[in-house]
Amino acid sequence: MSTALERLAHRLRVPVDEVPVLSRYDEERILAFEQIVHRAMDEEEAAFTRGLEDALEFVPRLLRPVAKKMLGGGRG
Amino acid sequence: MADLRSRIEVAKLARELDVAESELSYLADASASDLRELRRVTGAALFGRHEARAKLLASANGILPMAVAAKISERALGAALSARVAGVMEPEAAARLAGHLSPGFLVDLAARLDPTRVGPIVAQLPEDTVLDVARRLLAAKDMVTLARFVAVVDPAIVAQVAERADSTELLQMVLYTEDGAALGVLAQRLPEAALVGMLEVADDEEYDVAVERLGYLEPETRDGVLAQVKRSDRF
Repeated sequence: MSTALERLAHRLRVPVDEVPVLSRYDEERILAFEQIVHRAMDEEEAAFTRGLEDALEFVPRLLRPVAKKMLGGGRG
Repeated sequence: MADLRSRIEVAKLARELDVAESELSYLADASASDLRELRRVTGAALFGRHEARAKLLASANGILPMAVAAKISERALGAALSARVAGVMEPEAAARLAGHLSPGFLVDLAARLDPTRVGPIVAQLPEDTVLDVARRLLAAKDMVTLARFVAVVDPAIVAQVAERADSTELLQMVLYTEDGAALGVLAQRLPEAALVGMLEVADDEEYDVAVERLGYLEPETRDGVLAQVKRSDRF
């Protein structure tokens, strides 16, 4: 069993047999795909963190504590 | 060269992952159906990873005036994150929010939305709004995004836009549309001349795939169209 394939399946949160198409490729290519997925997830993670912070600046002052409490629950 | 159907799937996967197609070109020797499944699994993983945060933002939208929520979408979140949030919003609320977004942002948003998740939202949008976004996508020659919405937008609207597309644009739309039945409904509404023109600009490989996609047309219409196609290399 390919280690890179197991890593990719773990990242995609599916059993290895749900990505049979990738088992035809060598470790290097599976790893390359895994890194692309990883990068996409990381970039979205950073965008969400930034977006949640920026969003609060547009919330009316009176609603800000409630919004902060709501949105703060999604951090981490 | 890899099969056109597989290359189309690689292009869609690259779009999902926001990378250049060339980064995934080695995948094109796999079958289109395997690549479609890989895209489904990858898309679900990307969506699932931030679903909780998207839901928080959707809830926050509920306590804010729509104009503020729209400003947050456009200025703080951007199209990609707003598309994630739209995917978990109640259709009625999302449609109301869309009414406060600028047309330009709706176009950017459309390119990022997952049509399989937002069909009920699109169904609640005013026809004029959907038509305007679709026409802007056509003006931008974003046929891939238009193709993604063929199955969830009112066929009459899709046909109105497709009639304005030139033969090459219509060909791209047909090649990239996944839902064959929806494509059949669209093709049935288009003038035969548009379908004939589309097939005449196709290269051999595109022709074969386009004809395959027109398999959902009523046989009489399909045969009528094929009989009119002038392709010196074929006949």
